[in-house]
Amino acid sequence: MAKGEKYDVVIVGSGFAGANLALILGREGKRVLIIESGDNFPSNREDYMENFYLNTFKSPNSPYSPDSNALDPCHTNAPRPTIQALVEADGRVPDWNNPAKSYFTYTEGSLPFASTYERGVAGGTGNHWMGTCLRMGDEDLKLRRDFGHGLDWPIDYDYLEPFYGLAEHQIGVSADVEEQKIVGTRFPADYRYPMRGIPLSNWEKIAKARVDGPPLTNERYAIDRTVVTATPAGRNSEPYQERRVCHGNTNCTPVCPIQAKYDPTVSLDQALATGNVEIRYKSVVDYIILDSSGRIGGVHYQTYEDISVPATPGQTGEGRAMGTIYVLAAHAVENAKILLHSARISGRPIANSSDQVGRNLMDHPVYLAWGLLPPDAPAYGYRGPISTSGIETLRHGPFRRDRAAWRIELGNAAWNWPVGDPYVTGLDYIYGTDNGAANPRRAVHGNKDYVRVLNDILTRQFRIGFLVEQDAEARNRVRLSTREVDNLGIPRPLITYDLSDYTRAGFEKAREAAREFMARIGAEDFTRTVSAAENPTTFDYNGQSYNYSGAGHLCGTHVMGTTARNSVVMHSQQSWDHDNLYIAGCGSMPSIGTENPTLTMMAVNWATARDIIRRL
Amino acid sequence: MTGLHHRRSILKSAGALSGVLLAPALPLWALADEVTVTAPQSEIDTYTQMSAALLGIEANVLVPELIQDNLPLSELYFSVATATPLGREMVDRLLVYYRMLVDQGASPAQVARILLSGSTGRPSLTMESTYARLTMMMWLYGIWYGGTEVSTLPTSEPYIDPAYRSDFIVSARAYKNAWIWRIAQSHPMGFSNFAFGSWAEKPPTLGDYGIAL
Repeated sequence: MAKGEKYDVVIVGSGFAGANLALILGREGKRVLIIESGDNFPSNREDYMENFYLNTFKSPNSPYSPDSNALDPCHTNAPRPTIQALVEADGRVPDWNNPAKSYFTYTEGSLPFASTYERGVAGGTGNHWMGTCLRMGDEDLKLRRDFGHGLDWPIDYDYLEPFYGLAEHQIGVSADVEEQKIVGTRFPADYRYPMRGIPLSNWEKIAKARVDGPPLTNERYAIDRTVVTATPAGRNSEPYQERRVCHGNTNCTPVCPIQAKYDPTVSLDQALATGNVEIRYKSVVDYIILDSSGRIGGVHYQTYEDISVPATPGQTGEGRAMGTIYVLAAHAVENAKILLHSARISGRPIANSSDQVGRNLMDHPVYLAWGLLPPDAPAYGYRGPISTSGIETLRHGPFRRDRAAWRIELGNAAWNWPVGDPYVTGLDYIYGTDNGAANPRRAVHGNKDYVRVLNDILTRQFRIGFLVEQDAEARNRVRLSTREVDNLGIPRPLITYDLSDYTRAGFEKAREAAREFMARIGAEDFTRTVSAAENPTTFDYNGQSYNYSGAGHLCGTHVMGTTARNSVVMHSQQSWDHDNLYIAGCGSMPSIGTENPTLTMMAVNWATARDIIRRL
Repeated sequence: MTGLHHRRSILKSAGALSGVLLAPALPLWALADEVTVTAPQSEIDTYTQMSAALLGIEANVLVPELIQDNLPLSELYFSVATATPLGREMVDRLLVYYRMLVDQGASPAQVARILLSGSTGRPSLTMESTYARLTMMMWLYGIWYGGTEVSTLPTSEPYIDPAYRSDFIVSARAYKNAWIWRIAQSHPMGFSNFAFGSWAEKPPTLGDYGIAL
């Protein structure tokens, strides 16, 4: 299509929401343009894996450009938050609160936001997702009505249910319906997942044998049992869509070497193959243009070439894309940023008569617990997908009136997440240090002693993680910095972030449940809390300190609701204020529940696609 | 999802990424398909024997007879350690010291103890020990830990060329052949030759990995 022509749909972003919308629309013969801030995903995956192998700091960011080791958001085209900015410091100044190092800037008194996302590659953040595909439950969607906290969805589970099935088949989810019924999920009578479930790992089987039983705390739960169940996942247990079966590379996050894990580039490739979808890479939409009637008249974007940090050339060009319908699918924070920047430029609110754009920012702060299994029952971790099971039976119940819910993810990568092993403990025994807490005598070992001790420790390591619900709070929000910009001159996010007492109380119960888990499994508990000076993602509650990690689940910045006054979008994700604008993605979710949000976002997205098709 | 607690002290580095993203001061090991080795084979063999003593893994397991791409890791790691004149000198002295210990009848376990912790039980601060540790860590992780060595033991700084006082992955191949994962009876994260469902069963034994306790 020539420039200046009008597409049926212009989509900003090629992640989970954008790529799948484009696919559904493209299959219906609609002419779609995707504008993507990142570069094309490399065609040769093995060459691309080099990025990951060669990165000494293996975070969710690590395979993806721009280089997450070089912290200079002012001089980066399309920067994003990094784990390095969260954990590092320049002398006494922590990087997370230093605008020269951190993409996010913060208002006074904020806690650091612990999760990151991607903008530098097609497929976006979905490239690094772990693959967990749990459906939300009835309760999750009515947190305010039933428990007096957060916000309600304007729809219920029965509305979403058929779309969940469509999403699960597009992704390729491996699970067994009968097992998922145990955790309370409702399915149509004849529903089957596309592929059979993925087997539990060695240590998860031990956990199941020892931990299944009564609930882990003395609270009232909808399901009165602790049951370890396999986690439905967008990961092949059989060849699917010409992608291979999982080999257990233990690398789902940040990248599956063989694409046994679904990622949005699968849908993007299918979308492009319809012949009806075009994509422009390295094109950053910075603002929306209104026409005289108040409808969206176009989106403006800047192009860039240089992905290095620091980038010398910035903008290489610009463009304006026009469509009958526009969809922002740039990720929760970036969607809000585009809308707020558009308002700044135009002098009037864009899609924001509710004043909710950017508000209700949520994540799953994670409580990690880890330990060593007894010598007679080693875990043999560092194998398999990063997680193949969880405890989902304790997600729902009357306790939600008093404290935030959580789901428990069992992890197969031993102490990699909480401690940084096998690196930290392996080096502890060379340097006589105790950074991992598994070398209390600060011994130095070599030869067979080293092998024996490290084999013993590494094979017994395990970890669990509690994904704690954050209730939607208007005060948690994304605004625009008035001072800080990126290399394209686009204002960077200004974050206000805190954890409510409701969520902190959830952590308190998570700690209690973790200790019970450790007791039942017979583990030596190594869970430790470090001070805020050592780890800025720390808070206090009821006289105890807690460290929190980020699950990578950014939600809530353009919530759906029942009216234009209380929400940004309708349940179809159409803007209340501009009838040719949709705002898609996890930002539309009024509650985050305990479930990894991607599957639900995909389901909502399907309904959006249907709505758009109906209108075109 | 990364370990948040101690990343700062252990793994802070410039990293090494391919192509245009490579930090300028770092060597181009990551891109090397071949390594030019200028030392005689006997010296490489000694280096391998010493590595075997440090790791407690037999030399013929560290460097098997049949290597598909004909580049033994011993040559790669020797080349990294001796890439600068200072490194060359240090490794020469380390190997002289190693040969002396062997000639005096030290067992591999005793060699490891002397090289790593001297007689104190604390990490030894000699220049020989610095390169013994750096060698051991290359085999274990595929990583040159020059930065970690200097930040953990500042007395090591004069023994390491400034261009090598950082941490970097030696190469993707080195990462994939790192021994720490075999000691864990697993595989490097991001690289597995195992099959679907293998994680549900017990892993290969240490013996299967060629490691005898």
